[in-house]
Amino acid sequence: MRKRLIALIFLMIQFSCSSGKIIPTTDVCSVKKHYKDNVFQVLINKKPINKHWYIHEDAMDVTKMLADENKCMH
Amino acid sequence: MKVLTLLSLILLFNGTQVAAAEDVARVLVVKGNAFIKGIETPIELGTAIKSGDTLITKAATLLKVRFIDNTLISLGPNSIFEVKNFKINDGKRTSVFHFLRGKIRAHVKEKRKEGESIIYSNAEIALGVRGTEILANSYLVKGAPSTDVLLTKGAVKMNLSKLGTSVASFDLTPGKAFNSNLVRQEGISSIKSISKASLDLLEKGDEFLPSLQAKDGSFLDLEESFKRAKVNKALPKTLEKASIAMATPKVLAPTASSIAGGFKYILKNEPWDIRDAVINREKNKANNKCYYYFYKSIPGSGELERFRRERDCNEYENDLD
Repeated sequence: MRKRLIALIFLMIQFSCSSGKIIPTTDVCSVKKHYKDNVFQVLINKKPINKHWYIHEDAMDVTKMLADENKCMH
Repeated sequence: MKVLTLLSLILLFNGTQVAAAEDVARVLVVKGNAFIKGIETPIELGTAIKSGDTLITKAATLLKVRFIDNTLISLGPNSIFEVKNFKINDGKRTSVFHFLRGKIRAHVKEKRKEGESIIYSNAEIALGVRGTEILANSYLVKGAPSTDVLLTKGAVKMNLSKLGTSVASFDLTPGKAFNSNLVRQEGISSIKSISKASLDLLEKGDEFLPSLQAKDGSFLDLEESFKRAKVNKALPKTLEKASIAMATPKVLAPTASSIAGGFKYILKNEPWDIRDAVINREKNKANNKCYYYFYKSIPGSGELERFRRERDCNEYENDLD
């Protein structure tokens, strides 16, 4: 009985901690134009997120998705 | 005989290379009459410019071209501008322009990187550009050359060795107005700054720089003319005269374009894979169909080629994860 109580208290502490406030990131999303073509790369803190390039509106959409996932600022 | 065959092949190969010279810029705006030297057909909206072309504008003409590195060049009336050399090898630019006569406004949007060379020159001076907006004039006063340069932003290294002054080079900073004959007469101390307010006025507009030396040899006080303009609540007369650009881009902007979040696609200039993605974006997005592009070197060619792949619109790779 005592063991169960301890386990319950431990779980309560554990879960109470995990519901803490999300700290908003201060990372910055931006897009960079290809030197020749009109396609854009998505950057976080000036570092490309991958080797893919997108048309401008799609690149902007990716930055919005990243912001929604708290990977960069809104 | 073998040598002759080899020589013929080399000549044929070289000929093919010349014929397939790449387009380095496109005409964005043309009002009035402009030509490429040696070609009788007038320049039109979308005309391709190649390295080695010389652009010539007639009276009351405005010409605006965009280079593949996103540099914008505007030429005023009666101007001659030579694209002496423009190439991008391994992502590095080498560009040499000669502004031989008339009025030019150049906006080098992408800053010069290590190993790149961007030079604007005429008979008197050479400007080593690092990423900037330059307004320059090249004209004759009493039969002698006169050159004006003003920067709105960025930095330019000026080579003055042809002027015979004691100072061979000079770093021009934003707002400083240079005239070659004034520097010849009074040295580099003659290079004066215009005020922040006047600089803002120039930067926001599309105007060309008025000639800083009049036909009688006297010099224009640029700041004074701006002050007078403020009192009259209008741009200086000299600027108005020099420019016919104020309202023209709106009139002549191509109709087949798409403005997307601040970037404007001129669809007729885009390759099919980008044009298709822009035109059909909304329709494709409704079906969760989006694209990404990547660049890959084809074995044997060495050049990077662009490829397109389909993806779900809410999917993107994040290698930073």
